[in-house]
Amino acid sequence: MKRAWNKALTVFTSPFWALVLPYGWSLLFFLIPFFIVLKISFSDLKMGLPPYGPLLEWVEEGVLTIRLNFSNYSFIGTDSLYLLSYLESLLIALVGTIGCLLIGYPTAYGLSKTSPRWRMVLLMLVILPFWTSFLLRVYAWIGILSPHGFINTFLLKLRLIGAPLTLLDTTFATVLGIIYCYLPFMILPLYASLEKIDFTLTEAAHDLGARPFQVFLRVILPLSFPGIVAGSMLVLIPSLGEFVIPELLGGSQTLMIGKLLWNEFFTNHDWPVASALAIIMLIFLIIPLAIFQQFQERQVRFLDEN
Amino acid sequence: MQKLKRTELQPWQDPKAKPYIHLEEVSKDFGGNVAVDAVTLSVFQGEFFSLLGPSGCGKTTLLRMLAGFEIPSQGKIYIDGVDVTRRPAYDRPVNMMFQSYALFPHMTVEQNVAFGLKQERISKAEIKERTKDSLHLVQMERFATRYPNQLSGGQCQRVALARSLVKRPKLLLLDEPLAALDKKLREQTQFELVNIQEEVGITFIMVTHDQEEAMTMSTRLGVMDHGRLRQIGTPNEIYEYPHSEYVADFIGSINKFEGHVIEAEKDHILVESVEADCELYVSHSADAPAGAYVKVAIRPEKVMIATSPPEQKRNATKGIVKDIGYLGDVSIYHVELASGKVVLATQPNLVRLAERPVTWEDEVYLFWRAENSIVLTS
Repeated sequence: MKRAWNKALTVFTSPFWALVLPYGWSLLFFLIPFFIVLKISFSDLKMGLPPYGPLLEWVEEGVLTIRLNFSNYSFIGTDSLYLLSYLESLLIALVGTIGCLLIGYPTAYGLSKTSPRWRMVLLMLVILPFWTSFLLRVYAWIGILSPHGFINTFLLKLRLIGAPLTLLDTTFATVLGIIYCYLPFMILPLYASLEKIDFTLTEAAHDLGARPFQVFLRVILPLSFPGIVAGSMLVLIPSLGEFVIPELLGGSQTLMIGKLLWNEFFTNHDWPVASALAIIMLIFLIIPLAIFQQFQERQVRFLDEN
Repeated sequence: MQKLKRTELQPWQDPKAKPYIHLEEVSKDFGGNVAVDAVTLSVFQGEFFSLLGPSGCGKTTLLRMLAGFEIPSQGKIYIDGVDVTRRPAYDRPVNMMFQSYALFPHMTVEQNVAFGLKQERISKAEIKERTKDSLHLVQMERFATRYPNQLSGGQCQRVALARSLVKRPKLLLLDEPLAALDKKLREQTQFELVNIQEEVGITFIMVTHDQEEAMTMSTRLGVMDHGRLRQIGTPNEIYEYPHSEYVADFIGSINKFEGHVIEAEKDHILVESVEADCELYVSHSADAPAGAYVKVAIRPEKVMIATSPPEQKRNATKGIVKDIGYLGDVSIYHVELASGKVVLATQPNLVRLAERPVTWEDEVYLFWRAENSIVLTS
């Protein structure tokens, strides 16, 4: 019995299965849906169910026509709303990433310098927010930022302001939400690369006459660069397509591509245009991902030689 | 020629000589754990001084205080007459060569060496020149554009040396500089390091746990134990005239006989030892009155072996050969005396193994010259 179990286990841990399982998973839940979306993006808008026309059609006997409707893409090109919202998404994501970096770097550096006993506790605290629902945490910010929320009540009570500040439903709130939600994704890779830096290297730099700031600039910063890139990508890429945060905190004035996508699908019921938008967004997301991938490969090669 | 220079350089003999590096009652306390305990030490310009001791004896802490990585709990450190006790590491005329070499992995050999110079206001041309000279000194010019991960351990060691010398410090600290090299390379590098030190004329202080390294390389060495400097002296003094049992034991191997002083004169001491089964005559005075309990020590290579009784009655005993350790050039004979004490005697292998006159279970006579033994009082 136990033997049979072990045998089954070895089958699944064999190189073949180790490859087939994750790639099969990707094929099933990423590649196939992607092609479905791609297909819809080239079809006509129709009223009904499904709300789009077929791509392939039999006309007469033995003749199969393929109808590719590029107007969905050209429509996105003509309406500047889409380009603007993409640029705004990019800007918000970039500012959010920089914000995460500015808060995350000192945090990760501090973490890597504390004693091992404290480090575990502090790392737990970084990961702790993941234990609560993401939605709940974003909702909590509504309570903090709203006109009758925590900050405004506090400032009003102190008589520092006469009327409530508009904090909620702003781009600022969206950026704040992104920084708050994605900070752990910045801290963890940064911490991993900072922790690996040999402490004697900083001593050697000091010994050679470098003042603390120079040591940071010329030794610590370059050596933690892989962590900076990894953390930034982990924050930038998902926040580009973020929907929940701008929807809940950004109000109507924040135009992010994720929100637009939602509108096209569920408000306008224009699946073909929504799909075309999704495909374009994917292409734009692939660019930074590819850069990241290439950088990581170079890093791995560098470490292999080491 | 270099040997000549070495013997000329003996400023510690001159009472008027001014120490270049001076530690005054320096202590370091890590939360109740005393790592360095009131060390006073003077090192002179151009010296190659070694701090020798087992791990945890405080030698590395002492070195780190000189570098400026640790601030002494008590005491003062002077370099060339200037009190540097509280100066940060980047503001001292001191450089250090780390045990792990601590080369910056993201910089080429050239950039590593130039790093220290770039912290100063030096022209680009001079930085380039001095970097080149420094790499030339350690014969690493050919590898200037390589990264540390493309170098062997020995090459890294050379780069680390070049990097620490390029700023022309007043004092160079070396933390176990050869520990990471294999034995053959280590022996070769020992002499190279000494030659480079003589060439640049910089004062070196080295930390090592390897007594052979300390003996061959240093002008003087200090033996440390539990945060204290037990003895300072030339390699010869430390080996031939250890003050204490600790120092005698730490450097090389040594035979010790317990006994009581019968005669204590200005020029000699006579000790009666049941353990040695003879009277021990030592031809120097010691701080031990008649009747005092002392230990008399004799190095194994100073003990002679014979198959017939020697003429001398003192410093002569006999025993049975219990073991012979063959090391190629020498053999170590383990001879058990009547008291059960095992004495080590090292003999050069002047003839081949099969022809040697003494073998297992032979009765042999052991004897040595009076001036070769030492009285250990502590």
